[in-house]
Amino acid sequence: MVEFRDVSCVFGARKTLSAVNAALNPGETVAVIGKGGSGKTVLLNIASRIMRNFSGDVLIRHRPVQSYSRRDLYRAVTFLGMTPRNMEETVINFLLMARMPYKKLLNPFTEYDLQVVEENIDAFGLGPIRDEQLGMLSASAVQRVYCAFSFIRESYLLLMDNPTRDLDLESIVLLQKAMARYAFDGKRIVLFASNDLNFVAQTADRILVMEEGRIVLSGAYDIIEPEMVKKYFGVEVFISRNIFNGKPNIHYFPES
Amino acid sequence: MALVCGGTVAASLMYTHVSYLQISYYCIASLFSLVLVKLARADSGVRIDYVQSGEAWAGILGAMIVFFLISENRYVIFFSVWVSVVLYELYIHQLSRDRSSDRLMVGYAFGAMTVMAGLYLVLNGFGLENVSALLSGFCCSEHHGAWIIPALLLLFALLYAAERFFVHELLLYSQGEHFFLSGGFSYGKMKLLVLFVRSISAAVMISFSGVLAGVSALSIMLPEKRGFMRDAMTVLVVFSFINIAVLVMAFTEVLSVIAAVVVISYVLHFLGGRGTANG
Repeated sequence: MVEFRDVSCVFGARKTLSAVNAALNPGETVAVIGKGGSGKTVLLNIASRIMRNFSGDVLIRHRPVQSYSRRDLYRAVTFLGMTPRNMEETVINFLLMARMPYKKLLNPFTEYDLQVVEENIDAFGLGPIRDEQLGMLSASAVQRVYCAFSFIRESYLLLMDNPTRDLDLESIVLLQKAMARYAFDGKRIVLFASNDLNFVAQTADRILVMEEGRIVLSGAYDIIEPEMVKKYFGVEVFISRNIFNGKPNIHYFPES
Repeated sequence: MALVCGGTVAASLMYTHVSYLQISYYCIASLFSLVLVKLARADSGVRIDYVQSGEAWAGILGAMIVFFLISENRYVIFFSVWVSVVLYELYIHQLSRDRSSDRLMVGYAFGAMTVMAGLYLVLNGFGLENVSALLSGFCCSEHHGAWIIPALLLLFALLYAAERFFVHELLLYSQGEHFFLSGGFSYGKMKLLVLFVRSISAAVMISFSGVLAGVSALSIMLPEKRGFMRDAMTVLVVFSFINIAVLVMAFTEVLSVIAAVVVISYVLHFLGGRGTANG
């Protein structure tokens, strides 16, 4: 379980998180939505200990996030919050990096490490570009590589910030399947922030709506209603139902 | 490439006063250029415009010329160059992220400091004779102590083996602090280690082969190779370049060779390694 207990955070003169309380259970895929600046990314940064100046408690498997050693933390939590610096690296070498928290110094990667990498190369359709340099790939392919990296880590808590950014339609479907598989066995948690309401509606088991650093609404996909979108996003939408699973499809009207 | 390499060695032996011992010095310099290339790759996030960083190099070159003029003592030269290179490396790693105008001033300041240090030694009794030691690697004599060659070869072998053993850790380091921390390592300590090894390698290379640091950029322009072949190509190219410089020197004056080598190195770096727009 992952718990946020009265988590607050001040950034400069602004309070970016304000007494956030939430509990995430193993097997859940949870989405955080809200306007830009509502605190979505800050929440992920705190859960991954990238941001340390917060009050309250963040517990991962009943242990405060601060109590984890660096290596244990990166086994427990994955958050690809930064883009890689060396874009001359090949896709396969970059993906192997995801297994570093498990690798013993001077030992090669284990058979299992290589197997996990290969499985995710297949899952994200990266086979044809496995030996390409990151810098030579399209934005969509690079984002697919980043997604694969996150899944390869196999951590207890997978955090993703706007995972569909730059992804083409095929890649979005691949990501959706990968997310479903990841939490399916009830041992892991996915927490992602997104601005793509359609993706959120189709993917998340639970949705947390944030506004000005607070969680103002929580629930399953059925909380996505035109009134809610109007209230928290300031946009009028029409919502139909997906004919396969009954989940919301959000239609925007830019001219309105 | 091997033929070119062999040809330049043969020509050097035939048309100049170069001895086998000197050729072995060039080998060492070439090997250490490989360390520089690898570390440059590991530090690829720090991309400095070569023109902007040129002023620091110019200062170091000036200091080196002074040091080469003052003594034939290879060890004094090595440590003098090392200090200069450490200053340059600090400049690259720590200060280069400042505004470009600050960078320029810091570069000039370091350059001036090293030149002043050299001048101070000259004015305090170090002789100005021995112009032949201007390029210590090219002009070394038999009595310079051949023991240093196996010692440095051993050091290179250790560095190369370490690079092979820790290849994934180095790859992780090359991706920046966030990624390196994820392996459970200390980024600060690793950064200091890289700085140390890099400055040692640069000092060795410069001490033993003159002002050829920039030539490592040649490897960037080579056809894409992987693993050992790529390393071997880098070493052979630098080695050939040194031999060609020696050949040229046989027909002209030392200073014109220095000028030519510096210019060629800069142009190669400019063409092959320039990654950012000029500021």
